[in-house]
Amino acid sequence: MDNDDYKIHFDSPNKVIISGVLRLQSPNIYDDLFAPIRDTISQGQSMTMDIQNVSFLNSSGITALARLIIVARTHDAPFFIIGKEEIPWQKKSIVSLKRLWPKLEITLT
Amino acid sequence: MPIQTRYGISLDTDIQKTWGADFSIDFVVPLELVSQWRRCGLVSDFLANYHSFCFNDPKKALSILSTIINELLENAVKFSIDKNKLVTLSLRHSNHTIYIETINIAHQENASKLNEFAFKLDQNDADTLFFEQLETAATTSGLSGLGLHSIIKDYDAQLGLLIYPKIDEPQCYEVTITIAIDLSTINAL
Repeated sequence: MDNDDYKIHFDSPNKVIISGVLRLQSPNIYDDLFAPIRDTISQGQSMTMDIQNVSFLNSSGITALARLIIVARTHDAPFFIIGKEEIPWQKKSIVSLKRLWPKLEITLT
Repeated sequence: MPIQTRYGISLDTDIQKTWGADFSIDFVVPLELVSQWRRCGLVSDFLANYHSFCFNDPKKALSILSTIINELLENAVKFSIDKNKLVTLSLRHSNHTIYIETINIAHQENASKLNEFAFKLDQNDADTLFFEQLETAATTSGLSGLGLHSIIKDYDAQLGLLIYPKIDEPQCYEVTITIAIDLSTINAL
C-alpha cells in the first residue's frame, strides 16, 4: 500500500514495515489502512510493526495504533513495535502505548 | 447560557506587544476534499522549518515543532464550523519560549468540550488525562480527541483558551487556542 507520503510493506504475514509521513484525517481512515494488521492479530497471531522510518504520525494515527494494541490485548496476540529513539514523536508517544497493555513489546533503536 | 472562557496563557499580553507576530497565516482547508487535508502538514512543515534554525539541533526542532503545529492546525480545521471559513495560525518566538496560536469558529458542542478539558486539566495531571482519553479513543469509534492531550503531556506545554460567542451569530464561538513551549524542553528531548 503506497502513497506519495507513506509506504506500507508486508515483509511477511506477521511483519509490516511502514515508512514516510502519516497524517490522515481520522482514526477511521487509519483503521481501513491497518485492516490487514488487525485481521492477523484478531486470529491471535503475532505482529511486528517496524515504524523506524515513520517521521510523523498524527494523534489520529496514535489512536489507530492504540486500537490495534487493544485488539492484540483482547486476543493475547504477541505485538512488537520497532521504533527509533532519535525521532521525537516516537520517543514520547510510542512508549506511552505500553500502558494500554504491559505485554506490548517496544524496541527503540 | 453562552460559554465564555479565558483560561491559562494568552498572546494578548505583553508578549504580543514585545514580540509581535513572527509568522501568521490565514487559510481554508475544505474538508470535503481529502486531498486538501495535506495542506495542514505542508503548512506545519514550512512553519517548523522556518523556526528550526533557532535551535542547536534544527532537525529535531523541526520534527517537534511540526508535530505540535500540525496537531493544533488539524484541530482548528476539523472543528471549524464552516468548512470554507478561515483558520488563523500564528507563531511567535520569544527568547525562551515558542507560542503557537490557532483561531477558528466552532459549534457550541466543541467550545463546550474545550471548556470541560480546561477544567479537567486544572483538576488532574496531563498524564492521567492523556491515558483516559487514549483508552476512550481506542475503544470507541470516531475522532481521537488526543491532539491537545499529547501536546501538553509530551512537550510539557502550557495551554491557553479564549472562547467567546460571536455577537452576530451567538450559536457560534470564536475559539483561540494558545500553546507555549519552553525552548529548553525542545532542546532536552
